[in-house]
Amino acid sequence: MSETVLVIDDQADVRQLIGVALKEAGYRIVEADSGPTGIDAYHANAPDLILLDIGLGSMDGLEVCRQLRALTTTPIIFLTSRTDEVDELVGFAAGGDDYITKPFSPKVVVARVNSLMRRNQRGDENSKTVYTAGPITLDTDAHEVQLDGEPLELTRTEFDLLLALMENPSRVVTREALLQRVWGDWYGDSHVVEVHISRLRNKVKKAGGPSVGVAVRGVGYKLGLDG
Amino acid sequence: MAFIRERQPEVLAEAVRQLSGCSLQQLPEVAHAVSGNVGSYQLPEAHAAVMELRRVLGDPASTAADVEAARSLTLSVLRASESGSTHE
Repeated sequence: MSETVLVIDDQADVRQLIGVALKEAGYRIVEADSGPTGIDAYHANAPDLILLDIGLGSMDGLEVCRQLRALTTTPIIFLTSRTDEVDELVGFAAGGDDYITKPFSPKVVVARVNSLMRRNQRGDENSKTVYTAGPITLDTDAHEVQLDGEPLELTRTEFDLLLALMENPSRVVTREALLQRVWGDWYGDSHVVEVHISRLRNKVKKAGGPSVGVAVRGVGYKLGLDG
Repeated sequence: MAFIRERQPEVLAEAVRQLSGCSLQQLPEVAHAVSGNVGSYQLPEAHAAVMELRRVLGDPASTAADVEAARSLTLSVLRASESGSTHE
C-alpha cells in the first residue's frame, strides 16, 4: 500500500501541484484546505508525512503543528513563502522536521518527502536497541527518550540527531555526517543541523538535563553530558 | 512537467482575480500567497512582478497611492503573461 502524504494548504493550485508530483512518485495524497480540516484529515487517514503551509487562515500552520505534535511524531515539512520565518520554523518551538520555501520545484518537494520517508523506514527497520548515557535513555524500538526516567518529547529530527550522538558517545560527529545520517541525500543548507541541535539542547536543558550536542568548532558536535 | 504548463493560464487568471479583487488591507496576505503560486508554477516574470509588489507593500515609506500603482503595474504584467500563455 502506498505511503500517504497529507497536504495542508489553503491554495488549491499549490495542493494540486504537490499532489501531481507526489502521485507520480507513488504516494497517496490527502488534501486539506485549512488547519481544522487538516487535523480532521490526520485523524481519518493516519498519514505517513504531513506537508503544512504556514500561511493558513484562521488557524495558522504553527498552531496546527502544535496540535498535531500533541498527537503524533509523524514527520512534518513546513511550506513557507517567507524566508524570515525559516529560523523560527526550524530553530524554535514550531516542531517541524524540515521546511520548503515557496516558490518550490516539484522535484525538490519529492526529494524532501523521499528523504524523510526513508528516515522513517530506517528507524522502523532497526532492531530494538536501548542507548543510555548519563540520565538519558533512548529506545529506538519504542521511539522514546527518557530523562531521569521521565519521558522527554522530541520531534523525529531531534530524536534522530540524539541517536546519532548517542551511538558515538566518545567522539565528535561531523556536521556532514549528521546531515547525511538525519537528512539523507538532501543537500540543503547545513544550517539546519545547528538549529535543530540547538533546539534539542534547549529541550534537554529545560527538562533539567545536562548539556547535549556540544559544538566542537569547525568540526561538528559531540554528545557532551558535561552538566 | 506538462501539468505545470497546462495549468499556467489558470494559475495566472486566479492570480489576477485574487490581486484585483482584494482590499488594500488584504493585499499583503494575498500577494504573499500569490507569489508562492506563480513562482511554483514556473512563471518567473509574474513572480518578479508580485515580488516587486510585496517589496512596495513592505516599504514603510509607501503610501496607499504607491501601493495601488504597484498593484496596477503587477496586474498589467500578469495579464500580459496570461495573454502570452493563452496564445502559446
